[in-house]
Amino acid sequence: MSQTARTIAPDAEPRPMTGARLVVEALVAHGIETVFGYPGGAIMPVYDALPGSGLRHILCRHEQACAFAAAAVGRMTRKAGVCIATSGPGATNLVTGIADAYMDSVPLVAITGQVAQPVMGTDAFQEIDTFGITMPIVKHSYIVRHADDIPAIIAEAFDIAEHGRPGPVLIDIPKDVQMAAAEGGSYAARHTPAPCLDEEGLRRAEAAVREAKKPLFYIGGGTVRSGAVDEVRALVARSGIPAVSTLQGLGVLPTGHPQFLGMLGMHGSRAANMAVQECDLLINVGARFDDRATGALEKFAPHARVIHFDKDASEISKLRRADVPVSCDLKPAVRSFRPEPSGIEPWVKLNEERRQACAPRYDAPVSGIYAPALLHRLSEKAGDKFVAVPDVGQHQMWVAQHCRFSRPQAHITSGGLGSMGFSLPTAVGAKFAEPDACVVSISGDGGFMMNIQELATLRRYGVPLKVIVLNNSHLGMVRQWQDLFFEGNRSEVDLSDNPDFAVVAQAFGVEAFTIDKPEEVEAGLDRLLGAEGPILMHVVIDPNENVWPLVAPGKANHEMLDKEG
Amino acid sequence: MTIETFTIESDDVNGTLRRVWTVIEQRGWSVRSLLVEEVEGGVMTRVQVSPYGNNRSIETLRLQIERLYNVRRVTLERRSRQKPSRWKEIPHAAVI
Repeated sequence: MSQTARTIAPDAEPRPMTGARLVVEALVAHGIETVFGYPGGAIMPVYDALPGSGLRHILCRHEQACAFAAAAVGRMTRKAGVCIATSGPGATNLVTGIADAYMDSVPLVAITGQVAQPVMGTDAFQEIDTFGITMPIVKHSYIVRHADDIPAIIAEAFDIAEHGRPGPVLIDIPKDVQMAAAEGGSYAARHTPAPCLDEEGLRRAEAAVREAKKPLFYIGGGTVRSGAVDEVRALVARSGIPAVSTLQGLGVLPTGHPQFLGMLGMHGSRAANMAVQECDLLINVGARFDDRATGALEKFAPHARVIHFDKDASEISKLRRADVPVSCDLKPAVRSFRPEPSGIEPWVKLNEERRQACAPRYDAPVSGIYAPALLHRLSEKAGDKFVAVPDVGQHQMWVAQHCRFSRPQAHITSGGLGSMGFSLPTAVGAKFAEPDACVVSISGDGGFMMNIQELATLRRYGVPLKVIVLNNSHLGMVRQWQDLFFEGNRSEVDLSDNPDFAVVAQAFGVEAFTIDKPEEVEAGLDRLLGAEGPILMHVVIDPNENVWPLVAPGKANHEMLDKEG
Repeated sequence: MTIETFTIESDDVNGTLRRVWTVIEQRGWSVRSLLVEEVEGGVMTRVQVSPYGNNRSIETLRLQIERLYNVRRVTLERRSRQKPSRWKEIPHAAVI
């Protein structure tokens, strides 16, 4: 990456300690190297303290992008990334990114400036109740009242963001607090709470497995957030039990794993959904019975008893009653879980046959470039360093269905909130978090336009990101639903007046090209993956292509619609 | 109408009450009455809530409040099907 990223040498002359300097020093003391931010009036003292701090500041071109990029650090590393914005619109622009992190349990520390305390509550310029606005979408939040509290608050914020069920923490700092003289604080070391283990729950879970003839693992993003991926892989292997995963759980078992039946749910694989509907024991590890995964909840896994492993006790029996709750840290729990199923061979064989029979095919005749085939080929060519960062919509589901993932970090997606505009800034953050990875931002034409300004960030820092824009000139997923469930009444989904994305990228100073024929795919992917700097591949695809299979609203997961209807 | 009463023990820090109230409303419950008092080392809140619609689990709400940072413990006190009678249901509250 370009060295224009601003790492500034320490100052020679000491400057007086202020609240703002404490903010910066506390971040450095906690090992933060990179922050994503955008300056403005109420956060100016912090920006004044940045030069010479050793912190690398990445200037995104919209605060929403700062939040997405910082959250990407948390998604890749399980350590909280940091975003910084000013008060008022700066803070409100962070909201979507913070909410996205909240919904997907991603650690994030967001620092916002606030107007000075004497004018708080007077509708001052760029004053907004950031604390109140963000309250439902943060794990915790602070208004800092005294500069001397800053080191302790920042230390606590990282603790809260990263431990237990991770999530975003907001620190709102009035400008007078930033400017106030402060004592050089001591930076409390992070603490790691002792893991808890539910021994009784584990023994009951093992008994339930012994009684089952059709057990099935249902693996969610909680396994990733808790760092239990290796343990889950070992558990699945030693048990011999088939497994399905949620969108956030993709990559926990690598694509092609013989026991892995694929993603369940609305756009899940037929093999996965059939297994869920037929199993007699569903072993939920870190999933939350999200409606996109369950379809009609009352019809979900109708024959199954449920074991539910979750760190967050409030998730257990929230939507589906758990027959065996196991509420504790996933990593030690999964390690200690010793299921000994017997007589499940016919069930295993049935699922293996279905897995092979339901594998996607790419040889059907289509007009133009078939996006699922392109994405499948992309992930094959990119190899184990591949990190797919889809946006939201049809292409997001195609990525989930057709790409090959060697690890969960190979698939960074906005699951809970489903935020269009997610891909490009998140991919920027992912690339900073893991510079050696082959990070590919994959957007539709709708979502790409929502954070297109981040092409300037690629250019500014020379971020060697691969960007794919799959352009069907529509809001494709909405168009598909209008065609299927609204009698084909296409309302406000036509984007055929899109700009030429390759030309736009070139105007930002980013190499770009367009492909629109199947025979151009292979060379296009080679050029994309071989580029040394930032590059964009604009792909024109069939505007009428749909995502299949599909579980219609109100239907059970086995009642899937497919291409033939 | 089902009325549930919680006792919530929390730290005395900025925003705790607002956060508790937010969770209750966000998760599909209505706050019917609320009493907050300072106790040694923290704050004791007694709150009566009723659900919007059916199929709301009071135990899930209890755990969702209890997982808030600065909330130490949430105890479900009692259930009634009576309309809340303002402050007199909370015995030591003074009507101001």
